[in-house]
Formats: sequence, structure tokens, C-alpha cells
Amino acid sequence: MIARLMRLSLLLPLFALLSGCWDRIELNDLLLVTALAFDQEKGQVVTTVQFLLPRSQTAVGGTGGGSPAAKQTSVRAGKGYNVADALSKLQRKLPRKLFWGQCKVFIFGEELAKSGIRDELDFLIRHPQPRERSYMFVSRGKAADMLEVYPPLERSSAEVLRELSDMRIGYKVTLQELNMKLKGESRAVALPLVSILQPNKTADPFQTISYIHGTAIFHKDRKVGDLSEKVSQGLLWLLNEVNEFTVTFPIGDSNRLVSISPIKAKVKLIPYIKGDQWTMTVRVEAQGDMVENDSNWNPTSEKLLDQMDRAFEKEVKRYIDLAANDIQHRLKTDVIGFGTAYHRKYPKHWKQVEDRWDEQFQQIKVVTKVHARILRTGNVSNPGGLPEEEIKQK
Amino acid sequence: MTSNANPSSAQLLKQELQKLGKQPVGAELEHSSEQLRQLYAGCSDVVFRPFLIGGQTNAFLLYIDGLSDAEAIEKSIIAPLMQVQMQPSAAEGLPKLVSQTITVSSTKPVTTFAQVMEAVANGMPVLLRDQEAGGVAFGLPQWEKRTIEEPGAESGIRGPREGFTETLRVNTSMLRRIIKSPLLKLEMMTIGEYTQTNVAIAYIKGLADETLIEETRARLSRIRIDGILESGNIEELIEDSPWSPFPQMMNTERPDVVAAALLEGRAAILIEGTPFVLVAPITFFSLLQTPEDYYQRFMVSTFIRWLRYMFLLMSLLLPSLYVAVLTYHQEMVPGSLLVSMATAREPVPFPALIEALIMEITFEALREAGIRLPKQVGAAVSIVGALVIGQAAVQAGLVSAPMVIVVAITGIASFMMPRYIAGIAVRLMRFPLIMLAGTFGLLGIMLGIIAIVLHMCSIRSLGVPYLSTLATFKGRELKDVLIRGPLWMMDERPRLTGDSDAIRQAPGQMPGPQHGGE
Repeated sequence: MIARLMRLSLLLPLFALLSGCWDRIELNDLLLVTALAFDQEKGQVVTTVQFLLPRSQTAVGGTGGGSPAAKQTSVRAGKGYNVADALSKLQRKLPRKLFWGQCKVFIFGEELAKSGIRDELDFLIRHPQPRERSYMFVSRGKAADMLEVYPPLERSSAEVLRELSDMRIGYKVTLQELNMKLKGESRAVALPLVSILQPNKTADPFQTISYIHGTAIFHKDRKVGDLSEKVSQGLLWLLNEVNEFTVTFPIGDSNRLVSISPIKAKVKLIPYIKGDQWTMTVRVEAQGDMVENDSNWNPTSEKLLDQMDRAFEKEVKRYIDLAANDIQHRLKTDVIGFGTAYHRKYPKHWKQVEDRWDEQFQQIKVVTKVHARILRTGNVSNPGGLPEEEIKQK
Repeated sequence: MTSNANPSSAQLLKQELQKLGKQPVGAELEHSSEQLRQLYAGCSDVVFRPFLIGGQTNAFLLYIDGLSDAEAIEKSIIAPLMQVQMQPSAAEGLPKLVSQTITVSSTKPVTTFAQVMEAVANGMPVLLRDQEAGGVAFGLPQWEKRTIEEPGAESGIRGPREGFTETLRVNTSMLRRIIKSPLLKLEMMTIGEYTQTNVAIAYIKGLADETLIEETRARLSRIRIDGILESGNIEELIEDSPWSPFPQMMNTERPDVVAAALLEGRAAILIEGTPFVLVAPITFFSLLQTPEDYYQRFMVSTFIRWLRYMFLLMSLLLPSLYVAVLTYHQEMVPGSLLVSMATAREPVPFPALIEALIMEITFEALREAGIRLPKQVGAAVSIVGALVIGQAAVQAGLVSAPMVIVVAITGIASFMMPRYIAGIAVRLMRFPLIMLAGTFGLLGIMLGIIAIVLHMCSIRSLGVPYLSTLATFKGRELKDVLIRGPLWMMDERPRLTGDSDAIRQAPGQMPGPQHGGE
């Protein structure tokens, strides 16, 4: 046994020689991809990668003399019949191996989105390296353009998009969710729509960011339309993704504005079928703190506060109704998940409409019931900067 | 076999010595003194002092200069014997004479030459008288010894400051001062053909399992060797798994540690000539404990114990994890961290595996150099080390800064092991793990860990499983492994082997207001 151990231990140094084998790869030989964009060009797919330049960062940190927003990323594109083909062609132009493990942003170009993203999606979920939790976006215009800009803050425009999504101001869809939703009952999904922000007057032409600006609606794997930024907010209410929102609404006859932030809201979809009439009740519980009060109303007055609450409710309802209406009647695509709700509660009814769900979806009557409350009035109770006499106390 | 047929001169001498040793010391002084003179021929430190007892009978005193108290010999043995008036007859013998005239507190009769040699070597002067077989040895050993000092390798903040010395008698006395019960036994034996080193097995009768002591005794008496210079020699010859990198016995310089071990039913082996006392059986966890754990408040100790476990894992795994993640699992690192590591690694020409090995080996070399060098130069080593492997190597682009950090943390972590031997075993395991990490990634590390754990499960310390309380799970004893339970909760001794007296203190001693007053 001892002799065997000794002989075994003699084998140990051989491991060092073995280390060149298998799938070992040094960090120095990896191309750290931060984002991948898909575009369509004459029936072929163009893949554009944005990758980090590890060396330029030492230059910035070292001397401190470099420009504050030195380019830390670069892009390169490859064209092919499908994604794998395009990437293999792209790899030929890169001295380092494409590494998807840190790539957290995928962007579909507008044109490609309109003609379908299934092929791209298949590549992304089949390949072992891309993360299931990476974020999916659709661009206005070419997706590659979103990667060409370099932001003044953050390392890359991809990271900006990721941070923006994480703040939940916009809608966030991961690769996994996208796949699940396209497979789900309604076979529809909403993806955040990104476009390039106009650069500052003093900034370099490409020193800007791409930012989330509205929502793209997909039916099956095709983009069928956009939601404006305002309607997108309503969609977030319907999807129960409300977070860090600010709601601003007018009160009283003067139509002076009051803002509530951050909003905490719980949204429940309650499906109901009576005869032929399908009704969806959207029940919303919202609350938040007052951050601005432009009126002369004293919010500590119970009566006035109650009126403010009603106005708050009205505004929320307006948001939701706007979005529901737009999605139901203009886009005719169930990205809200009504289908799932009905499937769960009325599996038998669901079976009957499954094949013609898109039509049925338009017939659903949406009833919005909002209960909203202003919780705190902030540091001051009276409206700021107003003499006592001018404040409406009752 | 060949040596028997054609014995070497050394063996002849040994045999002769043995033969002489068995002979009794004869009545004829001339003859036996001649024999002894021959025996000690060439030993310039051996003193033969012939004199007449009461001016009539021939006698002589034999001792080794420097090992016995010459002044006391003069005052308490030679002077009274020379002045003695009434001499008892040969029939009544030396014992009577000694009991009448000699004022030395401890005496011992010797009959054979072996006994004479042993007594003399241990600093006991031997008196032989004409016309009488045998002699008397007097307990007057005195030699230069180091004073009791604070142990250098085991310093602490709270706890006794004294440490063992090189003198066995002093060490046993220190133990006896702590444990005064006569049940503390100190069995003596000598090991080593030439060194004749005194070795004491200490244990508390009743607490230590009888079979355990028997086993210790048997293992010690099996040793046939020229000499024992340090407890490490003995450890190597009696441990359970000689092919293991893990120490299966604990060595300590602190009497309080030994006393605590004895009170838990363990055995201690004290060796003449070294301040390091062996304690066995132990488990791996006892190597991760310090005496201070038991002197501090238990919450503090528990925290420190966990810190230690954490850093134990770190010192074992950190470099290999770094190598594995960097070469195989880049997706596991948070994005921004990976970018800064990639940036730092950009100028480094070596693969991560080689980089790690270079740095680890350099660190080990610096550590070793720091230990061996005289204190005055030691500082220079650390300066050079810090500058060379820290600053300059990174700036020159030979290694990356994250690697320096990893190696530094690993180094600190390995110094957190309270027992140096445990720390160094873990450090040794690190290298195969780095190799595995560089070859198979995390998979390799997992394999390595499995191998190490399997090995640790398979070894024993004096028959006690090494990972005892976890492997051979003993739920009740976890209170002294996972945490350091409050003293008033640890009512039972750890169970080592067999059934020993389990209860060590009265239960329910949690202090509180309801226990006081009234």
C-alpha cells in the first residue's frame, strides 16, 4: 500500500505537463465579450461583438493623464448564413477566443426582430457559454450601432444597458424568460427597446449611451410593434414590475401637480368568465411617499389627503387602461400574460380558445380597480415656500 | 545474519559492555576499580576519588565532573566518611554506614555494573567499599540548565507564561506542580543505545485508558536506536501512519497544555533534552485549538475558532481556486473583477499555474530563510521579500498583483494555525492541489479534497480516528469542535478509546444570581 502510494505520488509531477491539455485556457487568450448584437443584411445575419480592451485600463489608472472617457471597448462584426456561421467568421478576425461567459447583453436589430429571432434564440440557449440570465434588448435601427458608442460612465455601453435594466426603470427580460415566454400560453413577449441618446454638445460624437426607450412587442418570434415610453410604464404596472416609479398627477381644479415616489405596488390579475363575457379584473394596491407638492393643499389634512389619494388612483388607472387598450386593440398581442391567468383558473375554457387566443384576447373586458395611498408627506407637512394664509387647510 | 558471523568492532564493544553490565560488582575493590577504570578509560570527565573510610577501609567514589554537585559530595559524603569513628562490620554493610553517617537525602543501592553506569551517567556519585559487594549511589545530580522561560513557539496573551526546559526533572516537576494528585503517574524508561535518554510517560491513572498506556509503553520499548535527540525522533518511531503528512501527535512546550491533555485522559511523553513534550492521542481538531481558547470568554474563542477554520480552508485552497477559476471557469468571477484580473494579468508571460507555483515556492523559501537566519538578518529577508516578490515583480510584469495578494493571504492563513506542524502539513497539501487545479480545474480540486479527506479519515493517532467527533461522529463532543462551549456546559470528557471516566465536573454549574447569596 505504501509502495503504491509512493509510485502514485511519482505521477503527480506529470500533471504539470498535462496542464496544456483538456480545455484549459488562460485569461490572456480570452476575448471578454460584453455584448452581442444581431442584425440582418441582405438575408444574412451580422453578428457584432463588443469586447473589453484590458490594456487600456492600466493606461488610464497608471498616469491619470488620459482622457476621462477613454475607449475601453471595441467592436467587430462578422457576417454569415446563421449565427454560428457568422461568429465563426468573426473569430477569424480576432486573435483571442470569443468568451461568452461574461456577456450579459444581447441586442436584436430592428430589421432582424421584424423577420424573427428564433434562429438567434436557438443558438443562445443551445450554446453552453452564454448566461441564461443575460439581458435581452431590441434596438431602434441597427443593433450594432448600440455597441459603437462608448459611455462617459461605466466601462461599456453594454454595462450601461445592464445597469439601467437593473434599476428596473425599464422592463427587464432575461434570455431564460424570453425563451419561456415564447413557449408559453400567449406566445408573446415584450422586450425593452433601446435607442441611442443624443450626445452632449461638448462630447465626442460617439461618447454617449444607448438607453431604454419604450418596449418592443413580439408575437411568436416576430416584432409586431412598439409601445411608447408612457404606454410601457402602463405595461409595467400590468406586469407587476413597478419599482422606483414616480407618479405625477394633477389635483383639484387648479390642476397643480403632486408627485409620489417611490411607488410600491401589488398588481393582481383576476380572470373571470360569465357566459361569453371574459372579464379581467386588474386589482392594484399602490402606495408611496410624497416627494413634491406644487399645490397649496396641506397633505396633513385628512380630507385633502383623501382627495389626493383619489387623484393618485385615477392617474394609476389611467396608465393601466392606456396600456391595456393599446396592447389589446392596437397590437392585439397578449404580452401581459392574460392567457396564463385564464389557463390557470379556467383550464377547460382555455382549451376551447387556445387556438384562437389572439382573437379572444381582444374580446376581454379589462376592469381596473386601484387602491392607492400616500403614506408619508416627506420632511415638511405644509407646502414649501408658501405663507400660512395661502395654504388650503380644508 | 552476516553481522553475527563476523561482528564489527562496534558490535563487539557493545556486546562486551552488555556482558560487563550484567556482572555484579564484586567484593574485591582492587578488581572492580580496575574494571571501572578500564570501562571509563579515555573519559576525562569521570572522576575516581579513592579514600579511606574512618582511616581504615579502602573505598572510592565515582562520579562525572559537571553532572554531580562536587561541593555536596565533599561535605556530605567524603568528609563524614573519612571522619567516621565506629565502622560497622562488613556484614552489616554499607547501608548501615550510609544510614548512620551520610546526610544525602536520596540514596540507592547498586549491585551490577550496569546500575553503576546508569547512576553515574545520571549524575549520581557511586560509592564502593572494599570487602563488600555492590555499592551505593547518592542522589546529588547537578548540572547547568536553562532557566524556565516563556515558550517561544507558543506565545499567547492570557495563560501561564512558563515553558518546559531541556531538563526532564524540571519538566516533571512543573507537571506535578499543576496536577498534585498521586494519580498522576510518571513512568520512566531509557531509550537509545548510546544516549540512554530518559523518557517519561505521564498519565493520570483512571482517566487514561489502561490499554492506551500499555500501547504507548509497548511502542516506546520497541525502539532500538543509537540515540534520541528530540521528541521528533520518538514521534517518528511510534506514530500510527508514518506515510502521512499530518502529524499524529501534538508537541507542546507548555505545561498547561500537557496538563489539560492529561486531564482529558491523554498520555504525554516527556523526553530528556528537549522542551517539546509529545501528547497523544490527538485528533485533527486538537491541532486547531490553542490553550487560550479555554482561558478566554467562550464567545470570543468560538469566533476565533471559526476564523481559524475559515483560514485553514483558505490556506489550503485559495491559490488552487484562483488558478482553477482563472484557467477554466472564467464565467464564475463577477464581471468587473474578471476585468481587473485580466488587466493585471495582461503583461504576465506565464500561465496562471506556473505563476502560482513560482510565487508559492518563493514564499515558502522566504519563510524558511526567515526562520533559519539570525534575528538580525531576518528583517532583511522580509524587506527583500516584500520588495522583490511584492512590488518589483508586479511592476516588472513577472507576476500579477492579484496573485501576490492570493499568496500573501494564503501565507497569513497558514500562520494562523496554532500548531506549526499542522500549518506546515496543510501548506504541503497546497502544492498538489495547485497542480490538480491547473490540470483539471475545480474538478481536480474536488478530487484532491476528496483524497485528502479520505486520507484523514483513514489515519489514527494512537488508535483514535484522526477526524474523530466528525468522522466517527460524536454529537456530544461537537461542543468543543464547532464551538468552544462554555466551561459550565462541558461536563463530560472527550471519549478517546474505550470507556473512561466520562464525567469531569458537577453538572449545572452555570453561574447566575440564583446560585449566589443566601
